[in-house]
Amino acid sequence: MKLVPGSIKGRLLFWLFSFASLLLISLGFFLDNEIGDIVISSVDDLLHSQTQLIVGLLHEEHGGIELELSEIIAGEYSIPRSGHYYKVLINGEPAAISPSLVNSEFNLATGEIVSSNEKSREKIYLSVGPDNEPVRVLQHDLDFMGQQVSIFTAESLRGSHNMINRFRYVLLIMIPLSILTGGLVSLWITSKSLDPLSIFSSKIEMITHKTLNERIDTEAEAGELIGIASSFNKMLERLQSAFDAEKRLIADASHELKTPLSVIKTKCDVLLQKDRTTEEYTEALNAIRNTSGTMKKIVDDMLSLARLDSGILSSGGFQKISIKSVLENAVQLMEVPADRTGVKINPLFRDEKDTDITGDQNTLTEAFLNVIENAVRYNKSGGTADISVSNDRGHVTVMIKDTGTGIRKDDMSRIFDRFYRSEDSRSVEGSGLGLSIAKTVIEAHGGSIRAESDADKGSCFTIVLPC
Amino acid sequence: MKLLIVEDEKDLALTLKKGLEENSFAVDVCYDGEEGLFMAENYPYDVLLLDIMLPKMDGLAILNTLRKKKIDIPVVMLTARGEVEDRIKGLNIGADDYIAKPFDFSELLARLRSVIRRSKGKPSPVIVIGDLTIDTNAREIRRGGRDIKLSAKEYNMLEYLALNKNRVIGRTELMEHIYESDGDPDSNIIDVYINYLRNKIDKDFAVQLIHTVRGAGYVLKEGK
Repeated sequence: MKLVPGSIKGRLLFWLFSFASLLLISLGFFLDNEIGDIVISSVDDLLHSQTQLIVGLLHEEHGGIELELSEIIAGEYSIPRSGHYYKVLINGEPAAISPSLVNSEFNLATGEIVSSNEKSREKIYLSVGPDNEPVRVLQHDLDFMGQQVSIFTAESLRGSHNMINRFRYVLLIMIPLSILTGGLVSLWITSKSLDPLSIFSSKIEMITHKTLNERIDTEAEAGELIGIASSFNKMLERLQSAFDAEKRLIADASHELKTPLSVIKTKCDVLLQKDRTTEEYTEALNAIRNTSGTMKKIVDDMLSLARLDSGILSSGGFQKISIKSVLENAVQLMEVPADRTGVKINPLFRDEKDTDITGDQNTLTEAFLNVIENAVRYNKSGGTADISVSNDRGHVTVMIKDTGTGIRKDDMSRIFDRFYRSEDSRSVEGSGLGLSIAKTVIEAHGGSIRAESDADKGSCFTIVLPC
Repeated sequence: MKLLIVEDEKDLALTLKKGLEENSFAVDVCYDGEEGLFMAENYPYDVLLLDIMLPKMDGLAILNTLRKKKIDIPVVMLTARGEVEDRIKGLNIGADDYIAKPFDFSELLARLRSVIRRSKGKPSPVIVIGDLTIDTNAREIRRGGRDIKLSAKEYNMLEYLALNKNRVIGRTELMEHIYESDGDPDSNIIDVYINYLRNKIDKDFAVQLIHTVRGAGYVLKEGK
């Protein structure tokens, strides 16, 4: 079991309560001690003043020492066992004894000496009085007219002890009561000061994936929570944009797949409305086959991206491969479609020095294939696609330059987005995923891809890979 | 009935055109939003089949513009996104119906017809004028307990007259709703078809239903 509780409330309560209790208990002990001292020192003061009084009354008469005690003999000192006593010895012989002592032989200096002062020749005893009560006794020795005088004054401690005890009782009741009150106050303070936290947490709880656009009003929060609230808002921001991107991706994917699907379905529905000629069936089936080919391409690309997203590409599985072999493979795969569209691929890299890079042959080939395919597709008949490579201090740069339709400025920032197809490109076959696959692959290899374009003159894709 | 398809997927648009034409619609097709809006504003269509994602101007913007200009042509939205919020947005700004891709062609037909009927204030698919009944779903005509066979153009004309029964329809209006906009048919063709219709519908009956209003056009109604 942990001594300190885990919750903030528990901790606050624990520490507040512990410190308050410790403080109160120490205060109790201190007060108890202090009150004892105060009471005892007031008794001592009294004893001193009585002694001084008696000393003042000593005088010489007829060559001997005379004590004129009639002035103080009255009152408390005359009542037997009153708790106020004195005794004066001259040369060891009792010279004056308060009537309260009852027995003139009673020895006041019997108990233990609690303090003694050699200089002022004083000793203080704790003794037992004639009434069996605890007494505090002050012995004061002095030489008077060459004679040894000892003055004993004593005060009963019964009253003082009663007073101290009464004070102790008060402390024993007051301190636990204060601790209890302190505990309750701590409880109230902690829950009160933690209120903003629970309000904050209930606000957070209200936010679900459907209300991600809501934000916590940082101004309204307690000072300590502003930081948390604004970090939380930033996290919501990121979550929302991730959610939105995901939603857009799903909507785009669904659009890209449902469109060809509805072409196929509508063609079948219309075809089946009535009997058709063989030519009509053949034409429709060809169209359906083409459309399903488009769908296959989209599905393949989506799966490629899903695989890439799942982190299948990691440098752990990379091998040393030649950049020229990757480009050669991609060009080979593109030659037939390029011929069909009348675009000439110029493999300028063949004359360049080969460079080894570390990576995954297949995915890199696919990435370059996608970029080259782009250069061929959005080209015009008789156009060219130049592929060159250069090596520069730890980097290999591949440039794929076409003479095609180019990319409009507004589209430039989005061409690598998934499923993004510019309005001009919609008529051209494609999944809208090729460039984002290329970008994902290149970036997984620690490289970068960028595009520059002059509308109507063509585009140039630059791919930089570390080697 | 004349219909405008605004759909950027050419293959789908042309297939729909073919299928709808086989079901007695005169169909115009546009592949982008701007052209679609222009056509919808300038030609009298009975219904508009509008894709949401379109180049240049999206379907929702077209619909919004049409409704702001108080053009209350019935609109059926077509979309592949299938997002509920898109659907609600479309219906809120004044779409009459909504169909998600991929759809059943017969369902699309039924919805288009129902939207047209509602827009003409005739919610029932069967229109009755005297003893003439026209089942617009099955495209079957009966008069006096007898089935009448009509050609596609004859049927289109009769259906348009029936949906607007008791209202005089000019030749131009008939032409606009029966022929595609890019065709250039002879204006006499309407009189020719009215003649064919009279032969098939009115000839053997005592009460004439198709009336000529001199200088104005034709009207389908009971009695004088």
